[in-house]
Amino acid sequence: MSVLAFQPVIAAQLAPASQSALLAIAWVTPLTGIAVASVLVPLLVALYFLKLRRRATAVPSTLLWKRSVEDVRANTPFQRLRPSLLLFLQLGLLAFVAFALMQPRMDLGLSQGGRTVIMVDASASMAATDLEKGKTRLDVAKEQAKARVDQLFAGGLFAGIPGETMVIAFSDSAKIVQPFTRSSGDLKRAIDRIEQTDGGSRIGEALSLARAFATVVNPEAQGATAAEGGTLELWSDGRIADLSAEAMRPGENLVYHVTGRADAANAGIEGIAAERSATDPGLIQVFVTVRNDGPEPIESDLELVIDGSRRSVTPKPVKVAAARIPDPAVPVANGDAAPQYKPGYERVTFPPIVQPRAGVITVSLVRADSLPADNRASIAVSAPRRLRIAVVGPVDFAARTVVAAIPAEKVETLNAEEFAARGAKSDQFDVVVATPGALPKELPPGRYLVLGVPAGIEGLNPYGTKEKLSVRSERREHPLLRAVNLDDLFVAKATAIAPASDVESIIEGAEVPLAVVARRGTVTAVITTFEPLDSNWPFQRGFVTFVANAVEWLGGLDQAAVQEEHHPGETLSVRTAAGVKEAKLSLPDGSSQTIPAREGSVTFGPLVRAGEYRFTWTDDRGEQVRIFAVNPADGEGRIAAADGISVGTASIAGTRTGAGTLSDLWPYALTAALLLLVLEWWAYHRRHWLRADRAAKAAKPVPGLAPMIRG
Amino acid sequence: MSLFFQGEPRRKRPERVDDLIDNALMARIGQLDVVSRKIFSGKIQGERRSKRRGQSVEFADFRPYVHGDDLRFIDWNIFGRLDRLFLKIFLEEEDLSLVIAIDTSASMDWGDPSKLVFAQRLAMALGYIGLVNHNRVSLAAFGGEGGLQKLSNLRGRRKTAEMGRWLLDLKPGGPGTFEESMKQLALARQGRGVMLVLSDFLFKDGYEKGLRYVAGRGYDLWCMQTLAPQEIDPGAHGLVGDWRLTDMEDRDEAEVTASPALVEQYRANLGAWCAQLRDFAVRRSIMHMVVDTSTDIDALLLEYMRRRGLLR
Repeated sequence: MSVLAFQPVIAAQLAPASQSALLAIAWVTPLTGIAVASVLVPLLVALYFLKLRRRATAVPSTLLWKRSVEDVRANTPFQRLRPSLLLFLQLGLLAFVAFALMQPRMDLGLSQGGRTVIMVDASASMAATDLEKGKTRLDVAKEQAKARVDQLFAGGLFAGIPGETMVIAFSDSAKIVQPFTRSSGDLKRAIDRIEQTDGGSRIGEALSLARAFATVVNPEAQGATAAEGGTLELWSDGRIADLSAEAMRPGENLVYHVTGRADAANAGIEGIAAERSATDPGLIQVFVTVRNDGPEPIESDLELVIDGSRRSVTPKPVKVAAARIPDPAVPVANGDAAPQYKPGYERVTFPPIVQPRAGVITVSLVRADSLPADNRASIAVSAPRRLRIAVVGPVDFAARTVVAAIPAEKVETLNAEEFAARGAKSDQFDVVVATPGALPKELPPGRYLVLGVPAGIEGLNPYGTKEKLSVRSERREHPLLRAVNLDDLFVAKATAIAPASDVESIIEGAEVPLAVVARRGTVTAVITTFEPLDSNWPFQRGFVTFVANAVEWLGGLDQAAVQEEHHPGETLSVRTAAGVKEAKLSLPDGSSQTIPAREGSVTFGPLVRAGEYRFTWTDDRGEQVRIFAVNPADGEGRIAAADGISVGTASIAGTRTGAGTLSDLWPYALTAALLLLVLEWWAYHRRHWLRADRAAKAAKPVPGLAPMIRG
Repeated sequence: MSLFFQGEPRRKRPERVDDLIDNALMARIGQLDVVSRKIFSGKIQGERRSKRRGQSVEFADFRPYVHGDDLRFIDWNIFGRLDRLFLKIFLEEEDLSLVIAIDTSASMDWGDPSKLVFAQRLAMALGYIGLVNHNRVSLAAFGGEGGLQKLSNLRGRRKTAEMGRWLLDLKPGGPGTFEESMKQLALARQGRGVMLVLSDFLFKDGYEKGLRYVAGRGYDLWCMQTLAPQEIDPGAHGLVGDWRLTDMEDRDEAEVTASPALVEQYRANLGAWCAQLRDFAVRRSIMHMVVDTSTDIDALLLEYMRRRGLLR
């Protein structure tokens, strides 16, 4: 930076807006300046007066004096450097001036006056204990952040007025722990309140929040907003999923405090799934994916625990290959794609285990590493339960035959009146297969396969009929259409509907949908807009498959846990009987809370911690329990802290010293130079105040005068 | 230690002859005599026949006549008895000429005690010794107000007061260079003897030429370099700090910052200046002596000068 680029620090932004433009300069430490000036200026002037006072005297001859002065002057550069206090002082002065001209900056922990947003990553990887024994990264980050708050508000000789500071914690979502404040106590308490989560790292929401709060709206300039560029101080391990999607805005200054070791290795369980045997529902098979993010391959035993009792251990240690970590030092040849990071994976299948009851299956890596949270994964399985199916109304023989063939606990055939009497209790039947005419105007909660357009579901908007339709398109990936071939389907007559946007069309005819999925609160319905007998579908294999798919899909909706994992950030929902008012939820940390039931379901979320979530409620069948197992977020296993992060196109190097924004050092250097200047003047004049007797003592015999005759 | 440069009052100049030499000193130095290292000193017997016809009739010895001897000194009585030519040798009582040249340039009127006063007192004492011993005493002052002033050929104790008054009348500062004055002194030489030059020898145009005029021309030459203690060690006498030094003779100015280093350098240069003068003197058989003006005249005469062989 050139000297010309120097700009005086005018803390205009610190001045209250109410002050006039002339008074916009805020004097941060006016007393210091006045004190320094009042001491140094008179002193300097006094020294100058001393300098000007040259006493006159007559000497016998100036011959030797002139020669001596010339000798002293002429000899100095060529003689050995004589230790002179003046020389050292002047050298020091010059060094400080040069130092100041170089405009050094370093973090002195001083506030620069602007707004500061402290953002703390609370994602699962921040639970790693690689930095200090017994302390997680989050603990360390919180300590550093609190120390930073202390620094910001500690003041200092050249510190600005501490700006407002805000604290945001983020994982999958961001949370303002403390809005902008100037109270360091509030800030530190807020930082203490940040809780560890098992979620992923997404900074976008945190940035949006920070910017939203940092934006200052000037009420006098209509519509104009001025985003005040603040300092964002981020404590994270740098493994943030959405960094590349964000961009720094002008005036923003992001300081990345690296929290975690760059060489931290970790292995964990990436995924877990369980499946009951189709032939023997009492047998359950568990599948696990082990992931290794370390640079070395690992070997570890896996342990399977169901409801606290160990049930299986891998017969030999599972070997997981090392992660492929691109070395940034190795240059990428032109045209080659940069090597991507790829963790090592190993899939493990446990032999079938007898577990006829519901339970929570937990698989653990028998291995210690710095992130224990992901060394175990759980999944909740429910007891094997067969469907209770009601066939309501004059369902045609083809559909009825298919339904009867599905292995179910019971299949009841009801007429409209019977269903209206019994169907109000939503938990009587898992799936209702019905014709539209047999259903009541107001559908009770439940899952329906309706062969025709019912009147009780909003958003279908029937407006007539269409004839001679064939399939134009279908959602092949939808579970309902798995293995369903619709190529030869021909519909003679269908009800024309104009479905609302939230009605999902899965089979599209020439002009109208042929099959849709509608969700209306507690009602989920798969609806065909034609009666099967008005088409050639019943004579095709696809119809059998579709009806079976529909019944299984509808019946299995609340058993998702068997196949699916849950992760922090998601919401858990449980369907209860209609009369249930509330349910009790036991959380992984052992606490419990009561959640009111609304419209036959209980919802909790978003999830924060991994572990076992147990819903308990009581209905007329007795106490009901539903267990969810929540595992840490995917992608958090890579805990090696990034040395730098890229936000959009900006690369930001991290700091590991708890350092923050940089302060100019030139004021210190100039102050030191000023002091040295005074000292130098003092030393210069001190020579003149030397006492004569001291000078006499210092006089040594001079060779040429040795034979002199003295008195 | 007195701080000469810090403005302490200087001592008064001598106003009476008694101020130059008191009776006690006269009594102590009355027994001394000036010695010339050279053989023509009048009171030393010499083997060599003097070429000069002296006033003396004191017989010394005989020696055989050699060709070229003055026939008038042949002892004809012996020739009559022995028929051989012998020459009578007389002790030629050649009186000693004592010339005291005092530098009265402005630079001498400086110091405490003043170099000029010291030179006056020393000249008075030495002159008195010369007068007492019936030497021919001549005084010369150069560099003073009236150019070269002389008081020649004093002899006998009674000339003491005259000599003292002449010395008291010397005024420092005036025209004339050392070289010119020495030239005149050399030309006006009368007889042979001892010549003392009392000066600080701080001549900007050098002392070499001037000394060459008087060295080796029949004079046993003594350079008494008188230096004030304030110029020997100015630092010890308060010359510390920033000074504007004015040359007393040519009003030349030198602005100095008298740091210990500079004072030390000055002392080294002064030492070198004195050593240079001594080297010059040694090569020409000139006796050189640096005298601090604070030296007691008694001690100087009775100890140092006797030890150096000027007095006995």
